[in-house]
Amino acid sequence: MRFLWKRLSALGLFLLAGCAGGTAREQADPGEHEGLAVYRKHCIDCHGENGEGNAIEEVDALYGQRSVASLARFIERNMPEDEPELCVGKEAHSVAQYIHDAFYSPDARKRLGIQDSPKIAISRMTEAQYRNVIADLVASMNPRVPNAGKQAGGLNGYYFNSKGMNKKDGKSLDKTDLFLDFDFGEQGPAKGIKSEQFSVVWEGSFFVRSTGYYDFRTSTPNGVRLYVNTVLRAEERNYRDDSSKASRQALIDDWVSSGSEIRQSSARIFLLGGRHYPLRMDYFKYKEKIGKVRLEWKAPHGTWTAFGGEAVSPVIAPRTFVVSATFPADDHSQGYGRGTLVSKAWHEGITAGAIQATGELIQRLEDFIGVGEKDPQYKAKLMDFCTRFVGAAFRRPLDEREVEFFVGRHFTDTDDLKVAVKRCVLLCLKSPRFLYPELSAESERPDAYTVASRLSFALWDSMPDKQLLQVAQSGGLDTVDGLTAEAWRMLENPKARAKMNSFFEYWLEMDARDPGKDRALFPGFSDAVIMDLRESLLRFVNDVVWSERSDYRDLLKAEHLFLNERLCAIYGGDVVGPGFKRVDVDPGHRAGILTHPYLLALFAYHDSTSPIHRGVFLTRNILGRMLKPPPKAVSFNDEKLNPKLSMREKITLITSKNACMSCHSVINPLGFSMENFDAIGRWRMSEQGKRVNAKSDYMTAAGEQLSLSGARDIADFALRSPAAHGAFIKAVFTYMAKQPIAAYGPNSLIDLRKGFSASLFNIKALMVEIAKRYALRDSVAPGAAEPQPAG
Amino acid sequence: MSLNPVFRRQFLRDLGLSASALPFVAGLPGLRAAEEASPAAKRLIIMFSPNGTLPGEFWPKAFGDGKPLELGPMLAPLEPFKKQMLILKGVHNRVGGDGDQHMRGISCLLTGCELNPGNIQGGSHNPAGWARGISIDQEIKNFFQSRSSTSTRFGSLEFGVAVPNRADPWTRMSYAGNNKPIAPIDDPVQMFEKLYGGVQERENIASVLDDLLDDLNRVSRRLSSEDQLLLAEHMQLVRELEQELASAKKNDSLAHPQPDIDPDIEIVNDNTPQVSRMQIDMLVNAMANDMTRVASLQFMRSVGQARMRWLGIDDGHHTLSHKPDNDKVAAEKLWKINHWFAGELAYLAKRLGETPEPGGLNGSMLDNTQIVWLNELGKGNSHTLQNIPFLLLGGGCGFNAGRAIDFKNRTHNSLWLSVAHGFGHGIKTFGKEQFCHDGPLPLG
Repeated sequence: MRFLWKRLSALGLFLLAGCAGGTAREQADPGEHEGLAVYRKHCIDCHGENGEGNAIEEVDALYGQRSVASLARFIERNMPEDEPELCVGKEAHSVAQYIHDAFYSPDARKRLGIQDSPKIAISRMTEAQYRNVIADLVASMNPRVPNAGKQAGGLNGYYFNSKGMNKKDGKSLDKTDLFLDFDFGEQGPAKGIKSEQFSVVWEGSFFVRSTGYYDFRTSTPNGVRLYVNTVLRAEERNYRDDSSKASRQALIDDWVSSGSEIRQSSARIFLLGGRHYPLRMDYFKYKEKIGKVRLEWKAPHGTWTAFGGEAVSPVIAPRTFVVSATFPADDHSQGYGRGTLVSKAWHEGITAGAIQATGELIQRLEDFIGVGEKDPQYKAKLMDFCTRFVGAAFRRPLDEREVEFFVGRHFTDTDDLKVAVKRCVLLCLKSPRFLYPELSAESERPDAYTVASRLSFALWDSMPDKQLLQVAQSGGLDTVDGLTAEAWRMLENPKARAKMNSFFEYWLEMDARDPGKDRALFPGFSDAVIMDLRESLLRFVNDVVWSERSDYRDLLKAEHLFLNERLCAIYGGDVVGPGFKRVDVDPGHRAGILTHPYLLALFAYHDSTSPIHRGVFLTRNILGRMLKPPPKAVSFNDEKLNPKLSMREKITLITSKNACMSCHSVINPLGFSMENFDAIGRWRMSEQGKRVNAKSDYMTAAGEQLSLSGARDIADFALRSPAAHGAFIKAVFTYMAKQPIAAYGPNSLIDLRKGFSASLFNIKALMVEIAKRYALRDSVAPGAAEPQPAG
Repeated sequence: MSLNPVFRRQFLRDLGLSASALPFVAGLPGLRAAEEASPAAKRLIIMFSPNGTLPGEFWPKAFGDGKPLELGPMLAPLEPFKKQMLILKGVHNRVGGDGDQHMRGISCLLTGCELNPGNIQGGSHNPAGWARGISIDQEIKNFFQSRSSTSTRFGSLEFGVAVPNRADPWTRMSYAGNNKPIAPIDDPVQMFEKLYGGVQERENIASVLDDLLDDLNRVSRRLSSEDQLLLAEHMQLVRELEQELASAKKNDSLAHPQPDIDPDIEIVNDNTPQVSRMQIDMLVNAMANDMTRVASLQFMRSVGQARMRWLGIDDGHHTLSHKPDNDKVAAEKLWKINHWFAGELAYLAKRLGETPEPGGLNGSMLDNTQIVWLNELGKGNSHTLQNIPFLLLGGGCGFNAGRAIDFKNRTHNSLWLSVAHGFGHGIKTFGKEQFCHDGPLPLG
């Protein structure tokens, strides 16, 4: 994205000097592409024979990744410059087709033998970034900043006696409850509380790791109301159970009982990962024989499970506004999600998101500005609010023109102040200055606010917080030291953890396939076990990354797992009671993530292991070796193969052809060396009564012959392999920056790899270095990374 | 109306309803064009007001055929509709069981069946839960929806006016079935959204699109040629949205344009009169556009404590309804309150009466709409469930109107049988079977 200093060239790009007259250089050959004639007539003078451009006129070379349709639309509207009506309709389409196929597209350039250095493409926010930013933007307007719920230890429970007609009769007991699962039977909940009628309020917050729909379910023969992610304020607590002043919307309202029937109610809510959400449950019992209540929840990829435990905290978190609009999947054609495409569905998503956010702001307006409609300062406060909002959304202070354009005019165009606020917010949230994170600077080169914005998108997938903007304003990002210090501070924010957590979900392909297995063959491998394994794996990688050492090598060679009681029953270990604990494993068997049962099960068939899936994962993701797509799709038809063969023998048989072996000579040995683990990742010595052979010979990309006898040999090799380190760095870089690494200078990967090694493979330090490289390219800051080569 | 009225009216006129491509108006009606409406379109509206009536003021002096219907001053607003009116005395809510009179008053009123045992305690009787069966409006809705000639987009709509935000047997009268209360929507803006989807948002979006294109252009100018392509596509999407909004007016398929709703109306007690009129306007409009043929309009709730300051009354309604008969001051206020409800009913009837029956048929919508005004109690201070003040208005069921009838002692289950039969739904029982033995009330 070279727009920052190439404004002139962009403007000059399509100047068509004297071209309109149509002095075609050559007569058309019959049979040549009809677009070529159009190209000669309208385009060639400025763009050159093969779209190479014109240095004197500052016309860029024509190449890129847009589709023919997209090029045609652009030509129709803009080309030839100043006279776009000369080339429309069929002509525009045929010339677009010609340009695309002759020299524009990556394929064409490959054919022409042109080596492209990857370019930084302008990008809008990805879906995840958009949702995070809207949440943080709305939150940033809230003058009350309650504590986020970090402290562990259950929810606050307030227990009350009741008297006639369901009215509370004084608080009798405060205690914290770790799980909301109670069977009071025919008793009161505590000494001094009568069994016939009583009520309880539970309050606090809970943390979610992943983004998605969370289901909640209440079960009770009594009365219950559940509030999730509503504004809860200590000073407004109304503890009367039958209060009609409930101004907030309950997620579940099952207040009215029906005889002694135990009623279940459920509802779902969309939440963003890496955040704490407020929760309150009101419960009351009145004359029913039995008192009983249970709250369960189901996370994405999870099963119904008791609500509580480590996820909950008694500290009430602020409400987080979550956009619930739907978006099309972001482009993943390069392997990582990025915002380089816009579509109608995307535009509908951001329109709906803008409308929802406007609704939220209007509803909470008085809280945010601190005064009501009747206050003489109301209008001034609203305008100030809007100015702050737009500034926060654009991630920089506004100049006078911007204040007038985005805020001031709307307050003179209408007398209705709320309508003015709505228009201002809608315009702001649909503006490219908001939607395209790097578009903020009017200056030739990015300033400190752009650098701040890049830092926060790289580390948080969200907008800068107040402190970062203050640092930017006071010049703190103008030195490399200052920037480095700020990046380290930002790493401590839960948003950095949330981003790294989703990085691992992406890098380890955790959502790419279903780890579920044949129930008859693996009866213990229930949905609950799969959920626990996912948690176990994420716990492990997060534990490594956020430890003091933050050592990449630990990811691959650690000699422990995190297991809970349910997992110990399958994988060994002696954990009892709720929660996960660190369990040491046999280092001769297991090695870090390579043998984590979740991944072993993920890269396996539903009824057997899959050395190919395991081998491909190890080759590409861990060792960083290229694999071409298979020349021919061969499906694995187990039932057609001799059932007496071992899995290794079967794979050897079906991949024995020369065409296969160019890749499978790499894949198979890696996969075979994992054969001591069955399809759900249990250690095994034998398969169908025969001893497993996990020994294999593997030739490295450098031609070194290795003798592998298990996962630890692969881990040891990866730890000394620059290609493996490079694969990890590249994965982290593209996930953080959402741009190709080579676009940040030809030596980016080499430099980062050297630094990674020098830091003893510190992952946090790597993140900081990547964030710096991403933020500082082409910036005015002294000591910035080398400027990106043009073109 | 705080929104700049000129702009808004123009916008509403311009936009109509057909930009169905927009995400925020997804699920727009497959609106039945007026001329397609079945000639036999019949409709039911239930209107509820709480806390009993003033029997002396409500009941006419004379009952029976051939006796001219004379309304007391409290019902004066309804004078113009006397010919289409039926007042039914001697019809009792005899459903017993758990729950206090108010609870059973409202929750058994349309269901005709008992409440489940439950945990909601009133001032007397056993605690209770939700009703055990379906309510008559939902029964008719299901009947209409089961046939393509009478089915509509919504089937039924539940309007509320000043219904508090809580769910218990005092606040619900419509039930989809056992333990399935249906919450009325008492926020006109929410109802507007439900009916006409996103019009306000479209208005605001449309008003910023020109600015947005300016901004995109300004930003685009400083980009490289390759990057400009993405912004050009983005601009194209904005232009498409603009065209969709503009073309909406050409394809306006609403037989009746949607009413003008103040998007910023605050749902507070003192705005109740405005909210009431908005809800009634939307109810009539939804029926005129054949979005539904069944609706309910619930004012407050049983035991409702509305303070009707717009009538000069500062006391809570329920408290007033408990005052003894000889409390002249209280009686005066209750008179005003019920006079106001009668006025709201009159407004509803007037709006229906002045809207011609869609489809070029003779008569007005009122001629084909059966309104039933009712209350959970016969009388506030005695909490009686006898002599519920049933006032029927309009022509939906083809009853022989223009009279008052004293049935002396019939169950209200029988009334609901009459209503069902009036719509061609020949059920033999409704609600609790033992109260249906005498069959429908003879109203023909």
